[in-house]
Amino acid sequence: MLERVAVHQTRLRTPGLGLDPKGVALGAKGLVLLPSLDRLVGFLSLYTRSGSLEDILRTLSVEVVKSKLGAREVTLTFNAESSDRMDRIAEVARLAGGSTFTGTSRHYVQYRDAAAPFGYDIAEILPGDGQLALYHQSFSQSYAVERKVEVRSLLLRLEPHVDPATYDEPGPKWICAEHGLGPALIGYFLRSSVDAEVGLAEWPPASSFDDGPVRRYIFRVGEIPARMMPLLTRTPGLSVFNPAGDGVGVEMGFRHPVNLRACPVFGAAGLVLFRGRGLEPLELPKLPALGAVQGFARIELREEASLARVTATQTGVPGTVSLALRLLPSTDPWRGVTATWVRPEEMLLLRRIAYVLGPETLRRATVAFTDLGAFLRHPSGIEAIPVGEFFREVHPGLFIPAGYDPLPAVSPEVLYKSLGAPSGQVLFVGRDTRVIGVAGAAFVSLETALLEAQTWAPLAAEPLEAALAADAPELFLESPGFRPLRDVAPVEAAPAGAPALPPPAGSEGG
Amino acid sequence: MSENLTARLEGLAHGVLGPLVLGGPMHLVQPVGPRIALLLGGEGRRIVDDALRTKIDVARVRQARLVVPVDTLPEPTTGDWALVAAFNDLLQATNHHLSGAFTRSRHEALVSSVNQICDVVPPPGGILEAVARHAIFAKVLEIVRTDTRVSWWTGSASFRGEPPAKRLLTWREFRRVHVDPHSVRLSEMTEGVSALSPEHWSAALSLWLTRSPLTDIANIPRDAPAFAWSLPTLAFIKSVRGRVLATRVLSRHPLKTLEPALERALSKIPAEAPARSLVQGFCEDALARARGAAQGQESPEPAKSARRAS
Repeated sequence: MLERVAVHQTRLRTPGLGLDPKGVALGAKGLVLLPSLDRLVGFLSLYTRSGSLEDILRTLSVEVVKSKLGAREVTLTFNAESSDRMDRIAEVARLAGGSTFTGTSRHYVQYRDAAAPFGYDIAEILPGDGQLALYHQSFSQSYAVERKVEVRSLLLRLEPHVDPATYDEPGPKWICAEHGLGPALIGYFLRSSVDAEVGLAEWPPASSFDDGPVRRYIFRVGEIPARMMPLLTRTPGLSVFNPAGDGVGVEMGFRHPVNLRACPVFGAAGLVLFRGRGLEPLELPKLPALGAVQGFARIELREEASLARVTATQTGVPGTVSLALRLLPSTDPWRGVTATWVRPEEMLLLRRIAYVLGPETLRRATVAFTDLGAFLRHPSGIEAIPVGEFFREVHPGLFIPAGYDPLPAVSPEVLYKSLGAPSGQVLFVGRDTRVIGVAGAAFVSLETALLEAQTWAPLAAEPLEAALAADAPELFLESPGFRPLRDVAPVEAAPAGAPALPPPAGSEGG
Repeated sequence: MSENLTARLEGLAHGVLGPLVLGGPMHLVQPVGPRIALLLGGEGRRIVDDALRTKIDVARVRQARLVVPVDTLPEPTTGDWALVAAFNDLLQATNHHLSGAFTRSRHEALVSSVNQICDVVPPPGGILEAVARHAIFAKVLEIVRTDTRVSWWTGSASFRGEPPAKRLLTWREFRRVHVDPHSVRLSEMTEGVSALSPEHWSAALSLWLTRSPLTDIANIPRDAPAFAWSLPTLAFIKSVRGRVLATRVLSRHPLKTLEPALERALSKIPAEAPARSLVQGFCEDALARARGAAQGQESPEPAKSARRAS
């Protein structure tokens, strides 16, 4: 049985319990008793929604305790500091179904509530050698500590909830790409001028049967353009994470039950990525070295022999001025990138990407298959199909590689005329200035091309059509033969040998 | 006798029943008469040609599923076979080859024998039997006969239900041969047979139709023979299920033809007759459902009003 602490009371029986400046009975530590681990998660979730756990995290200790009757409960112990902090914790604990106590070392008494504004004191100390003795209005119980629970490991075990609202959260993002998708994503970011940093992270092999460590690309992107979000979030092997604090991210579309920003248990030097759909979180003790994706830009070296050609060896009467076409890398921003050349070795990637392409893209994109690969065109931009070498249309029916300008800098009309292509041909000028012509009629809708690859069985339809086709009956009159009425008995006579059919109830009437 | 009956049934199946269910050319068999008609389907007799029987079964189920979702139907009963035979005789009565100069009475005699068969064959005993019978005779009013008139520069010739002689079609340009085929509906097939009274034949057809009440109701908007409520059709719509099926088959007709046909049939029932209220309720249900079908929405089955009327 507990006694209420009175105003100006100075002596308390509970060991280690004193009075704070407000006169509230307060020990050096606070303790929250929760019935189970899920209530603990509920407590953490509620507490971190309204405040940070940082101030108590340093002294926080979570333990599973066991009573003499064998009941297991969970305790949170922390430095009490002041009654203000304890009041807030007590409110949240009450909401989570727990009780709050205060004490110093072993004996903890119920913290103040509305019935006792200055707290409680115990009338008699429980005899016994329990590691923990809790005194409450409704019970007094001693407990033994069974094991400690690490908050960090508890948070890692919690599975994020589905939350579509996180798709709209702005700001920087982490992207984790499987090893095979990394180079393509780097190229995609590079072509799209997206500021991003990339690093290659390694995890130990999942089992002894794996050949080597598991490698994934980790991207840190300042701001992902909205048009890229569908591709990045729906492509298998790519996962986008919203930062949820220093060194921690939660997959887009999911939300961790605990506000991780208020739980700084993950070091800023490492990275923990919480994945949805029941997948284990990815944990990196140390962030891999990150570098700008621009470092992966394609470089081209001129041949050494070409240096010699710039020196004139002889002079003479100038002849006809005719220059070979060259292409020069350009620093201008990309515009009008409406075609891509998917080489045969990239066709497998194109087929995989086709699964995630949206219906509008499939409908509007056209494709032509040649021996040199597939040429895809999309009138409003080919970036939705991030595979192959991109081309921009400089003249109707004339494409040059994106990021390159023709040299000499003649107008596109002149360039087109100089190529002398017949009408109906779509010309692609490669980086090596080789010109490839594809018949315009060869371009078919991408969705048609995808569907035509399907196999189908014509057998099922034929019998169905035959069964459904029925002509109207048509009467043909022929001679009924000799003595046609030989089987028809005279009307006056009853039919001889007629079976015993029941007589009709009536024939006509209203 | 048994072998003879099996052969007659097989001929009837190939010549009449098959085309009636499956469509195509219908070649009538020798008039059957009441005595054989009532014995045809007895003793477990069935169509020997498995292929034809299977096709007929499939087509019957398909026809029945337009009315009610069933997957199998019972085989044609003795009564069904008798009605097929009666229908053969009814059509044979319109055959101009049936009689000669001194045997004109054969047509009327044959029609009388059809009436005799119809008097003996009972209407269906239940809903399933009615649906099964309707699945056989659903297309009966779609039967047509093609008559052809061939004219050439010196004369002309008419052919009822048979192709014109080839000799008349030779040298078509030179002889200026003109072929004019036209279709004759079932109700007009007596034209050209002076020895047969159209009224007598039409009454026999009406009587024959009452043996398959669902078929009779499904063709209420027909021009001839005009529909009139009979005991089998009244008994059919008196049950809730029969009423549902009847409104369902009628909802396929356009409202502008269905409404006057129902009113015309209703007007023939005396005001003091107890069946009038039943028919009146049925007409309201059928018209409501037809209106719903015309507006593209499914109207509720008339179960409540059927119970009220019954």
